Amino acid sequence: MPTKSMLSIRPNYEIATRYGSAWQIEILNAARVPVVDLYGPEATGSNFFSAIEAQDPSIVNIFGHGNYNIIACQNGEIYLEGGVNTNVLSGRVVYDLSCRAGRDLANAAVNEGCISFLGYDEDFIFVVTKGNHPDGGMSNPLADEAARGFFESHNYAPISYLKGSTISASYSSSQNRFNYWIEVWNAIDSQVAGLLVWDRDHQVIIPIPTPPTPGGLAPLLLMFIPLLIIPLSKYLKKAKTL
Amino acid sequence: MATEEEFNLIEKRFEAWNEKFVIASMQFGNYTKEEALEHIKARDEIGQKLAEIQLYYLKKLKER
Repeated sequence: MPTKSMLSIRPNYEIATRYGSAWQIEILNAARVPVVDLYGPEATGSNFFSAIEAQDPSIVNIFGHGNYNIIACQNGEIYLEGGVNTNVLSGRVVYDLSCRAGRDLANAAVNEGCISFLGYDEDFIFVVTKGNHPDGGMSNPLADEAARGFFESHNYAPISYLKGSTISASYSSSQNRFNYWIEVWNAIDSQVAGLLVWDRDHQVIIPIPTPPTPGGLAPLLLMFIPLLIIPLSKYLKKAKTL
Repeated sequence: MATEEEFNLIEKRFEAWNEKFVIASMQFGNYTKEEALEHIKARDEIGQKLAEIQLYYLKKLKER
């Protein structure tokens, strides 16, 4: 049985991973459970599998380049492959910011017992503002207001879950944040809005959460209906005689 | 696959785009406005992808 904790992996070796790994800090800061953070050179496959074994985390927060059936860590090392070793995600809730892995890899993981997998079934695209960093972006990715909408929208999902929301609500929270930023950018720059729409619509959660059934207190309330009908019929009889 | 007419539309959109931004991705590379335009004009794989994304947005706008 996994322990209430989170394993996070965030490579950092070029502009996309430098930006993404920086914005992942928001998720780490929101965690109220023990966290193992594999960052930069520590974000290797062997460290990931060792941490899974030692920590047995209930939440796995993944960031890194990906493709339909793979996810890579530091320097592009492929460490997760759908159907090959995704069984390590069994019994865990996964939030993944990678391109495309929300398609085949996510399905393989869920088929092998992963509780849920939130990811992207196509490319995750974002905008960077040109800056003074040697890679062409801004030195501080967290100060890049153009990038904010993309990463913040994604982050709302794991943050919401870490704060106690259901998996389904965490997905909705992220979708709503995308919608907020799409409206903001529609008024500023429709190209940026277009990329946000793409990311929003390619965000997937597997398995798809079922809508809430009219369960809960409804059966209990139904039991009390006869108690309401009896006084009501008495009242109606009385009203008739008048 | 985008039609010639659609490519021309996307080309115009990119020509009008802000020079200070770079399109970055977790898989298919990073592109400045000029680089994006080169790919779109070349009608290559990257150009196709960029066109696909923007056409998707325009389609969604139309549906609103």
